[in-house]
Amino acid sequence: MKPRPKMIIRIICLVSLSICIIGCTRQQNNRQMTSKRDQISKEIRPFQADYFKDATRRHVAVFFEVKEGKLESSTRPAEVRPGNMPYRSKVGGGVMIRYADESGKVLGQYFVENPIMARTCDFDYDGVGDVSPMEGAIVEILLPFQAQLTSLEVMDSKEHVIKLDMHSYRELIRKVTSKER
Amino acid sequence: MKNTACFIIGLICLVYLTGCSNIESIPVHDPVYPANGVNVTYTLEASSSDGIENIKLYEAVSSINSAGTVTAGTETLLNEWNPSGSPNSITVNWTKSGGYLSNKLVAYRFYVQNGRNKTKNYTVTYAIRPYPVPNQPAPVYVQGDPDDLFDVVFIPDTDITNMNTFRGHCRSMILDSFFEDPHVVFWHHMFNFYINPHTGTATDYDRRSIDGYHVVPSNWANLSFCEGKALLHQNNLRDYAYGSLFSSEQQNRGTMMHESGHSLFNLADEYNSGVHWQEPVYPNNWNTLAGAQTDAPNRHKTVADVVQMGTTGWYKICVSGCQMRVSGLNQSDYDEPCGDRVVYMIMDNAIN
Repeated sequence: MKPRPKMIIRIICLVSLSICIIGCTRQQNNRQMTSKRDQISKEIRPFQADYFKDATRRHVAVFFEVKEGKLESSTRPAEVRPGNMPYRSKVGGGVMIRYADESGKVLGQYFVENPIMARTCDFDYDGVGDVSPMEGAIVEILLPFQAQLTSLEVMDSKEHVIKLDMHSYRELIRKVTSKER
Repeated sequence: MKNTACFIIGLICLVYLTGCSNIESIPVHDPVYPANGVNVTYTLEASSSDGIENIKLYEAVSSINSAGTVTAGTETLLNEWNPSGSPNSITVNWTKSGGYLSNKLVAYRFYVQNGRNKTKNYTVTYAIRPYPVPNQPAPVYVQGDPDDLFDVVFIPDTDITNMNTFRGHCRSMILDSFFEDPHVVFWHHMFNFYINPHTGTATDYDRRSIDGYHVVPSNWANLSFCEGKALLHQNNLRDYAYGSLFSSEQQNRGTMMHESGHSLFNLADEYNSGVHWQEPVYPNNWNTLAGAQTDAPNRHKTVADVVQMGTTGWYKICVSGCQMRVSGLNQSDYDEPCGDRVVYMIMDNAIN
């Protein structure tokens, strides 16, 4: 069979072109991501060591006891904590924490793993994990420090809604705000 | 004619490919949490396809008292490098002989300029040991406002017998766990790390009914702002997690990244008998086969990559070596679908 140089050149060109297109697409994605990163980086505020002294940056931990796989009121009073709330996704799967004012207007929500569950992913033990309710344990739910916040709901992935007692939270807010006046 | 067209398109692609002008760098210091008077070595690994032209290292040493009040220091130039031949990648080191005094916070900044005069600055702040603010976690590698970044605190267990070894493992957790993953290291400036002054006590998952749950450190309230809290211990335990607290052997970099996958990035488990849920944005678990198959082509995978995890009715598309499938001693990268979510969460945290 006679060699067909034109055909070979065309194949080489097509292969080169394909590589270039794939390379360009990847490069384009990398560029977009790098550009996004640079943009976000510009908006990041620098670290200030006195962050934790800023009294306006605070949040509240409310405590509940795990009884028969459910959250029940705890005698442990709510407490103010330094710094803003840790980042939690506002959309998600898992368990939704939703808080509202007296009129029922939702002030905010975030998603966490089920707060009553302990889980192990330690593969040194037969390569299996396990999940179980933390019976008898005191667990905390974090909330922003907001005077108008009066109610708290926890909704699981099956959309079972549990309304939790916020007496301790309201009492804490009342005490702190009256001191600050 | 066709050949000419191919050649021109190829040339355009080549020009486009070489037109990139990024600088990628990782600044580090050693030791991560030095005592006063101890030498500190600064290292920068920098790379750019346009060559590295110039690097400068600056420091600003602030004073901090027990009340947490900071007196800012002035920034001064420590060293400058002008690498010959503008290499595409370079590692530079500089040692601060004699280190720093107590009650200091050191902010060092690497300035990098490439062959296209593009510049980048990387600033890292760390504390000199002992940190004078009682009950406050010591910043050992912080890069920005805690409200914008992911904050991770390393808590020593009461069973740690050598704190120098512990601090070495903390440094390794930063560099050989977090900064080893390609998705995380691309955003390495979006993480703050702290070492807690007080200990906690990890218990074994199989002995909870006897020993109780993990005992948190006395300053737990001051760690509440952190997205991730790692209780690092020496003894071999069956580790477990709840809330944002997880335990790990201090050398287990794989466990660190697996648990951070849960607590920082809301990633679900990718093994049978784990915890499963489906996130609405960039999930790594799907509750239907059809859902996983539909998403796979948009998530770097194919329909053939969809597998059920045991008989759970939950599906995944990541490879079996993905960090959300494994934990333990060795760090393993998040596969692309998990990586999508890592990047999404880093950006969402920064923006919101």
